[in-house]
Amino acid sequence: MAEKASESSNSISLNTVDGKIFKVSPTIANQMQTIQSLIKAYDSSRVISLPHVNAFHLSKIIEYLEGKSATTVSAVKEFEAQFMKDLSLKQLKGLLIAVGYLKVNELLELMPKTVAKLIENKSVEFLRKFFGIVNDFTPSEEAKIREEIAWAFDGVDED
Amino acid sequence: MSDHFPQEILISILQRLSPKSLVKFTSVSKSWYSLITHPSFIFNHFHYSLTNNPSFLLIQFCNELSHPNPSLAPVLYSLRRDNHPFLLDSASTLFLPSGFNREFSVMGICNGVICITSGSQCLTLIICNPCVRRYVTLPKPRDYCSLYNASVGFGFDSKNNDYKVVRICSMLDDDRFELCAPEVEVYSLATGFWRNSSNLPPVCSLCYVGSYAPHGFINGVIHWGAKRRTGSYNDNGWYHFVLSFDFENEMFGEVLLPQSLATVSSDSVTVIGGGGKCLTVYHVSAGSPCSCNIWMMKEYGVVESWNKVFSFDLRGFNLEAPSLGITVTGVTAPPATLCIRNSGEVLLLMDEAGRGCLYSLDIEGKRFIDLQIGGEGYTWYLYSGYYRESLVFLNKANGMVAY
Repeated sequence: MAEKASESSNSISLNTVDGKIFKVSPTIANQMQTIQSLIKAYDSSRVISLPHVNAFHLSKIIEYLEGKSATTVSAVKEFEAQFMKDLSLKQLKGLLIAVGYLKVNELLELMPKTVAKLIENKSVEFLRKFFGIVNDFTPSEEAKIREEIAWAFDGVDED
Repeated sequence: MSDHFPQEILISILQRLSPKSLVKFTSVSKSWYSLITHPSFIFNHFHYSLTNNPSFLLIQFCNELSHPNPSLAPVLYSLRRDNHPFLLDSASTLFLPSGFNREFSVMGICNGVICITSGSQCLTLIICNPCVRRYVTLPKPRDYCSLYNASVGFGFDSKNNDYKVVRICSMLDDDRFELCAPEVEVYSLATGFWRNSSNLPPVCSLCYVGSYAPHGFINGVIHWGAKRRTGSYNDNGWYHFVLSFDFENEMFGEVLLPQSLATVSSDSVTVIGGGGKCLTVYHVSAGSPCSCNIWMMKEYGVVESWNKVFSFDLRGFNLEAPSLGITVTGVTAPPATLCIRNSGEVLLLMDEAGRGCLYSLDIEGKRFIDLQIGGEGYTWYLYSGYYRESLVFLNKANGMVAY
């Protein structure tokens, strides 16, 4: 109990780009490497601004870290699967960028795995849309590449 | 908020994809093409796979009854997950260049690249990555007018980042047999040529190497069972040793066998494994009853560390394993040992009453497991080794052909 009280009194305030303030325990904050190094550099009583993270993404990261610590080892896989399932494609992409910026190591392991599974059999067009990539091949360059690797386009899933 | 993916996260996603998907995604954009075909991405993709994905055991055998004319019998292979129940991996059939789909022998596998020969004497050779469908046909190696046995080893020279093939030809020219030195050539993918090798140490200069694919990859060094004459041709005396070849410095070496094994003369001594574990040889004695022994070298290069770890006896048509208390009946020939699995178990192919049966021998756990895999008719073994998918050759090298 004493530990919990001291944790709450030491809680760290995080200010997202859309102006929402989150109070998190040091245990949670320390699982985000970027914040950990900011705490070391500044006075911990100060509010830490996160210009690259919005409230939705930060709340999801906190939900994951808190949820995982409250889950028994045997149920972690199920918890993680459910957490990922609840995210839309757009949310998944934004969250991954936020996770990369905050350096949340556990999610940096889990999320690329989830995205890899999702895109494994997808079309080239799906990938361009998902990652926001502009096709800079000329039509003849693209046709030539595709012709050489036509076999790799077998069994592509619907987008 | 930036909409662009940080490069390291993108790489972390892409390295988890299969080679087939990555080949497809080279057509996403110019920067993706450069990223996926970059040598460092190809290297990291393979190393991620080493620790995170299973490897497959490629077993190649030939089955006499599957074809009316045994000499034309197609060569069969299977890729299996190296676990118990040893499942067939139907998704991973090897797509080989045309002309190599029916009759070919695997001579070696390294980083997802397979060295294949067709026809006799290893004169037609290709190195191929079926995952990216690229291959190189090697220039014809030397042919000799006398009778000879050819053995080919394939490996990677990590110092020079080069794939190499070594071809040893032992001359069988009757009266000169005892005096002949094997002819050795080394092919390098980087140069695209065969070069004669003169790096045979004096101890190996007069020796005979069987025509099977070499086994036992220990730190980039492959090994063959080899032997040389002790007396005159009529004495029929042989001295057995293990011949090694290092792909980095292209040097041959000799690993001594224990005296009792070195002097078994006309018995067969073959190298069956290494693969990161200990160098292992299989000895089958001539005559009847015949004893089949597995020896392991606990500490590489230390001759005192050879240890006989397992023995079978073949009496009549009964194979007895005294230490297991097991007898298998209807065995017509000593079992062929294929390789040492990652688990340390030894794979054996046995002809059992006209059926080729595959067994896994767990020496430590004292178990002899019938894998329930085999074919009707006389089945002979050609090759076994670990295979793992990779993107190697996706960045086109000299003379590379897409298929």
